Amino acid sequence: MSTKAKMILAQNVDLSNCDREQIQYAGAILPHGVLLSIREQDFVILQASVNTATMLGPAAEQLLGQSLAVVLNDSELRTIREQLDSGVLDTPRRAFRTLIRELQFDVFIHRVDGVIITEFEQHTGNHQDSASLYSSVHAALTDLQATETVQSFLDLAVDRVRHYTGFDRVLAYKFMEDDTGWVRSESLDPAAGFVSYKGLRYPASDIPQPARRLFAKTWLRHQPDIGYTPVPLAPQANPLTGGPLDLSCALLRSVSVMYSGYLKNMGTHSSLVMNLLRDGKLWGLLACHNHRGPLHVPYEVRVACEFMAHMVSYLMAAKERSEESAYAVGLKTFEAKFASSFSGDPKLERTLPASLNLLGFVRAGGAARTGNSHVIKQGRTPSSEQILALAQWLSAHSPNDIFTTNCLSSHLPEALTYAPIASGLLAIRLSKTDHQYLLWFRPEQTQTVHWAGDPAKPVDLSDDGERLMPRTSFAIWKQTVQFTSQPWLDLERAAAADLRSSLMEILIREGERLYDLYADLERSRNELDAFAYVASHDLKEPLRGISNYAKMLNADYADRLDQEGRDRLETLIRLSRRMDNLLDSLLQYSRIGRIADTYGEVDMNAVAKDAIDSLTAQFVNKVDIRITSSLPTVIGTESRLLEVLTNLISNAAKYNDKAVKWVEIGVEPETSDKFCELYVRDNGIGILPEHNEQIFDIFRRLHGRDEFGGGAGAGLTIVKKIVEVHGGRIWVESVMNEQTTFRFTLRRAGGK
Amino acid sequence: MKETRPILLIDDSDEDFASLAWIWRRSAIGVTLVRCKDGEDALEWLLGTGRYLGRNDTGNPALILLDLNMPRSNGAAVLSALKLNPLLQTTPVVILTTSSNPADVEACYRGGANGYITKSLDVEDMEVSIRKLVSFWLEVASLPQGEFHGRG
Repeated sequence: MSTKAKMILAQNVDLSNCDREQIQYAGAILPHGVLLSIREQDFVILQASVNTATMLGPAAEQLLGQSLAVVLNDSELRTIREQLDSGVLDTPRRAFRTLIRELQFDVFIHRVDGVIITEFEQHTGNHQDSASLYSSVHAALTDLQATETVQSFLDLAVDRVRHYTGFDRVLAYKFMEDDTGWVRSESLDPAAGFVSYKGLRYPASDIPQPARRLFAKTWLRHQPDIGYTPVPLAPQANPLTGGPLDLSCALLRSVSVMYSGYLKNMGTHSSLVMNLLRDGKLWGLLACHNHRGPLHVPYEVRVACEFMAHMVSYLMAAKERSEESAYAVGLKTFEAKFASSFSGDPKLERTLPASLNLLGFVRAGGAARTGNSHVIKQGRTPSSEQILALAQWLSAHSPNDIFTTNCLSSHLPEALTYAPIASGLLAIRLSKTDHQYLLWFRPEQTQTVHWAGDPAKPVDLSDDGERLMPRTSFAIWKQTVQFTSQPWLDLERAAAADLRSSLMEILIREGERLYDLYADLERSRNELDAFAYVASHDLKEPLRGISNYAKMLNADYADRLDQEGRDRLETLIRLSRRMDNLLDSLLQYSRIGRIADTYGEVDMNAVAKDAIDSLTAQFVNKVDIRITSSLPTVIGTESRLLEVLTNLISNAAKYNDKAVKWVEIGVEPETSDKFCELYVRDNGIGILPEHNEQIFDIFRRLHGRDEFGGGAGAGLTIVKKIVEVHGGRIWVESVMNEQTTFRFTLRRAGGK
Repeated sequence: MKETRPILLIDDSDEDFASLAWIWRRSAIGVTLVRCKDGEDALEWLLGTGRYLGRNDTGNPALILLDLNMPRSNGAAVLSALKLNPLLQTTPVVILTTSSNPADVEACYRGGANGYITKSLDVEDMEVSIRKLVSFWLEVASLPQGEFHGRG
């Protein structure tokens, strides 16, 4: 593979290729030190930065091919040898501090590509003493541990780092799941009066992939003066490999021109950047900036800062985990509350109380619950119509029980209209057939971002030179995250799945319970009918005995009883007869549901005629019974329908005190395809509205036993049961003292 | 030929038996009314077995009156036992019962019953029915002359 041909070096990079810039092969270093690459076995100098003359004395070309002994003394060379022998040394280690030509240097060594990179960093000497630095770092760690939230933790961390280093701005920068960046915390020198960057978002492109890879190699990167002129190496190629020297880990590595451009645009003169890691992965950065001028952070302070970065990483992982687990506990708690709020009704819209706060579940701006054609909304949501359309779309397009997206409009273009409110969607499907969902909406990210500056200020994106500015970056970020919400976490998806399965479990359990209940009801209804039948049957036998014995007594011993005795026997016989009537009605009633009748087409004209015929003897010349219109053919059992009409007609005829009595049997003009509505009307005594229901109760009588011809009081009960068994219903309308109309519906023959 | 054989009543109700006996007396019915309390009792009497071993009698009764609602084997089972037994199946059986349920009526005729009377609440109405019944079976109808088949 010809990597050389494709190599893009720092000197010839632009925006279009910066993602490919191989910044580890910078070929140049920062000017505040000297770099010598040496052969390991004999310390012969292979490459040197071209600034050796000003720093160390000899010019670079004089050093090449010479031993390192030209620069360092024997004891120093021994120290280097010992350190090389003691370990891998793939990252720079400070070997010692030395004095060369009145200048102090910290000397760092590390191995790469078979050579030893030796870096001489000039030490300026104005630093805090180590003891006070140690005690303040120690105090900071104690304070950091005491913070309660990730936010307050980071706020404290940036504040302390600014305090040690003297930078005028320190940012805690977090990489999001989508690689975009977020300034989570910031410490600013209050005296400087700078614009705050806190809360700003950055597109992923602001920190290109090569930079991220490099970050993983070193904990700390420092550029004392952004306005530096890179010092090239001579020769450019590593003589041992023929390729450029890999400066990935070098302290003095010259940075990408993109990065320095970015920093310059921010008005930064000096920077110090530390990694924050979580679980071995780059979580974010602690970035220090100095706007007032170059700032060289001495080695001791850098060590303290690096230690801080390690500790912050370690503690922050714990803080984040505890915040996440608190969130997870909250999700679980909601699930439990959800289950206990269940009302025991398998119809979901009634099951979940409207008061149940769905927003107590995942972080969301709004939530809704959809049923057949209704929506219950909480918080900020699209309109009911939009939600219903969304539920229908989900039914049709998402086969999954849980659906999440942080860019709904990319699935459903109509969702663009409500993107500000609902770019993110988490949907739990409860029932596909009638579009029952629980929905949570997340607003578009730009709606939620707190922007410390003036978000309305227009940004010119045309000039590449201005492109890498925080505000510009923010605008670009806004474009890249347009119509998207914060992403849903695996944790939230899992909680949604748990919530669904616990709800399904409840629904299934309730369904089973209801099924059992229904079976019980059916059984007890059947048992009641059977009981009524057996009881009335068995009660008849002793009753007949009583009646017969009274009769026999009356027949055989009447002459030996006085009138009172004979009257009492008569009463006994009369009461027996009445009880017999009651039992007959009960038997008849119990048979209606119990006996499976055969259904067929029944011509109600014929039935009405039969009913009238059977009643004529009873009411001949007393009541005018007429059929006012041609009656329909219905679905039913003829004998039962005859009972209905016979009962209704005889009731109508009986409860009438008018001089001219009439009963009309008719049908209402077609009200439905399926059912017809028949009526039996009379000009009788009428029924008070409060009795409209009672008249159908078994053995309920509204009049004296012997008024209006008497009766057991079960006729209308039997009529009602027959009508209902036929699938119809019956009710009464009445005007007191004028008329009563019994209306009932029956299935029309040939109906749908 | 004048019928002299008894009529057998199979009914567990003492009161109903008393009523029938009363009717028997009032109407001066000329044949004996024999009463068995249940189906087992009746079959033993009819076949001259068990407690009735050696019953010295004239053979099958002229008519059997059978109640449906009885303890132990119910009337329907007794009816089927009578109708399945070659020695007994020619003797007419009239159901005399409380039930007026059409389903019961149909089931009894299907099971080989020769008549079905609902016991009336009014003993005097019942007397009219019984008189007609006895008159039909004993005076109008011709009955098979069953052999005596008791064992002794």
